[in-house]
Amino acid sequence: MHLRLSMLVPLLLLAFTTACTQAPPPDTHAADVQALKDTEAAWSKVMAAKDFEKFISYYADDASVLMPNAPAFNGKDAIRAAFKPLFDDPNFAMNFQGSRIEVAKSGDLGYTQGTYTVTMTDPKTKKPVTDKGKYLTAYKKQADGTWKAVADMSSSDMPLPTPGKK
Amino acid sequence: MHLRLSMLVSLLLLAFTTACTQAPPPDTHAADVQALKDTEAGSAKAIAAKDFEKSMSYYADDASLLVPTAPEINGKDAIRAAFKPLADDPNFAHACQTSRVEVAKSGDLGYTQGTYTMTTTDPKTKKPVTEKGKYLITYKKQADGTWKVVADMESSDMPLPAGK
Repeated sequence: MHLRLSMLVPLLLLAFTTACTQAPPPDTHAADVQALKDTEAAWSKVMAAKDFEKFISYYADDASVLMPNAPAFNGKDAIRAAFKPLFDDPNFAMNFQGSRIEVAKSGDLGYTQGTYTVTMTDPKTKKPVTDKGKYLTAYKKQADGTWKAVADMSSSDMPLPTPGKK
Repeated sequence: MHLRLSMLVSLLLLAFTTACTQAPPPDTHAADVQALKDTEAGSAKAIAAKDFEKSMSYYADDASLLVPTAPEINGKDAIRAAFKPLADDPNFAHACQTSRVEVAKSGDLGYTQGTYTMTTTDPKTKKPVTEKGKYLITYKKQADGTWKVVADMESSDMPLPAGK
């Protein structure tokens, strides 16, 4: 009996150790960061290709878009309406470049910061004008594992036109 | 002997179960969200009280401030320089209202979204003018457990002055 008991204890200890060292979830941080980088790169590509519906698909249903000189656009329908005129502009061209990306350890929340260049038709001169700016976007990982933008804010770097001058 | 063996097995199983159910870290999500809300309320109070140094203390050293008509303002010294004229404005008043707070399950990253009202002196008329705007702020929990702003973006809701 002593032999069987002394065998049982190491076996139980082994089971105990194995089960407990397997308890913490695997570290997916590097993969989460890469997935968010890939999401943003793909989003920029979709924008460059002027694929409006695909562009909109990167927003969560309850997302907010925050742009200067207007209150927040809340929800996908409002966002769609806000961006439609840009995509209808024949001179519209845009690309963006992330400069900072951070993802929570739990992989459910992240944000990116970066700069953009956009070309559009000047409503007055009817000629294309190019604007440089910056953005801050908060992302949430969805139930299907994809990253979607939940809050997307951008603004121009350019100084305001001084009315009255010239 | 049979009794001692079954007791030993039970004890080991108990130890096993207890140790393993204690393995996942405690859920601090509600406390994390509350701490971030409190942080933002504290920052708003410091700004409203025009306590410049205290309001600056909510930024991480490598924070970015993103405001219209200027490129990214990176780092606490640059942010300090950008805000100083506002803090020196005798008409300056600021109030903000948080509308959304989200914190990661791991409690290390969060963001807030909201609206603000700000009064400043119009450089031309020298009279106080009030604007409404919105903001998006990302926060990171620091080693000491406090939340600090890592990116702060704001913009006015007001339409651009008509250039004609």
